[in-house]
Amino acid sequence: MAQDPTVHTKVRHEFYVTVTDFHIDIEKRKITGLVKTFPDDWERAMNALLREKVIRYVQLDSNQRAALHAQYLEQHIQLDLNGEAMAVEYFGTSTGPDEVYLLFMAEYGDKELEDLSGNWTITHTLLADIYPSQENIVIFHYDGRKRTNSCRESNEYRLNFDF
Amino acid sequence: MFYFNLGVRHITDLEAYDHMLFLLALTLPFSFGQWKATLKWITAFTLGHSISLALAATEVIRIPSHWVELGIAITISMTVGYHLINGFKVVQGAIWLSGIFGLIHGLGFGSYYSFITQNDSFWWAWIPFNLGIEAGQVLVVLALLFVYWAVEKILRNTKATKWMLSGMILTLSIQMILDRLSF
Repeated sequence: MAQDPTVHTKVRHEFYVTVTDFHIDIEKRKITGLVKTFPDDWERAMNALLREKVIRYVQLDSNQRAALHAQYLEQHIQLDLNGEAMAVEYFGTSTGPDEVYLLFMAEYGDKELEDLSGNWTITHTLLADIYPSQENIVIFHYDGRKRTNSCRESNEYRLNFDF
Repeated sequence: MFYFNLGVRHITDLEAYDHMLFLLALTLPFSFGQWKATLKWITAFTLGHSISLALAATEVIRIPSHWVELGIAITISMTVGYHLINGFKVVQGAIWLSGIFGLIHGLGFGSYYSFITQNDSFWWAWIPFNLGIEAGQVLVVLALLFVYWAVEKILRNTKATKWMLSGMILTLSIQMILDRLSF
């Protein structure tokens, strides 16, 4: 893999993939999400957002980074149930040795669990603007069941899950 | 089914063409009539691949990825070299070579596999993922054997075709080795 001199994290990998878990948190009445991605891919996406400014991602403080993460994540993950969009809200970031974890949530208001059955559509274009071969694997957990599929160029980065 | 499909796709993905190149090299001495023997070689490769994938993904074995990538390129050159030395004859008992080379290739998938699976899905996804790899390889190899058969029918000179293919694979794999040496 070609190294980008503007990217500081050097986790070598030969593939472009993220893994995202969606869980329904009944107590908090929220959909919680967790994206796992590679630090260098993430840094490159953030630098692309900063293209117009004379600053690099590594030079940002934690608040500036959080604002950038929120902007990018909320633009690139969309969730809707039976045609009704749910606003995705960035929650925070956690960094491991070889990966970055991004947390987000979407409130589903006063719906009951059974109201959450139906057709879920997930549009997940994270990093697809940077890497043409980007693949975003989605694992959706619903009432003890789990469905896995991947958002890729071939399906226009969109998935449908029926529960 | 998702992990099975993922396994198939990893073999048939033209962007990761080193695996495809290895299959092309491996099948050089075979003809369509020898499809059963070919599948045995492929299965030996998958077994080696499955074992080392699990060992690498669980970090029992840790080899830097650039060494693994270099090793994969070398196995392609060695496979072609082996068939050239043996005059494209299927050497009985050489199936173990396929298994050993599978071990090297499987190491290359370890980090990918551990990234995409989680603790609860690691082992139950392992079987369909590897079955998908086997299925993908069988598809590719049967297609190759069919092409060899068609070439034999049309050109009536498979040896020349195999020499030509060997030259092409060898060139590409040496290029790959040189690229991967510059890490």
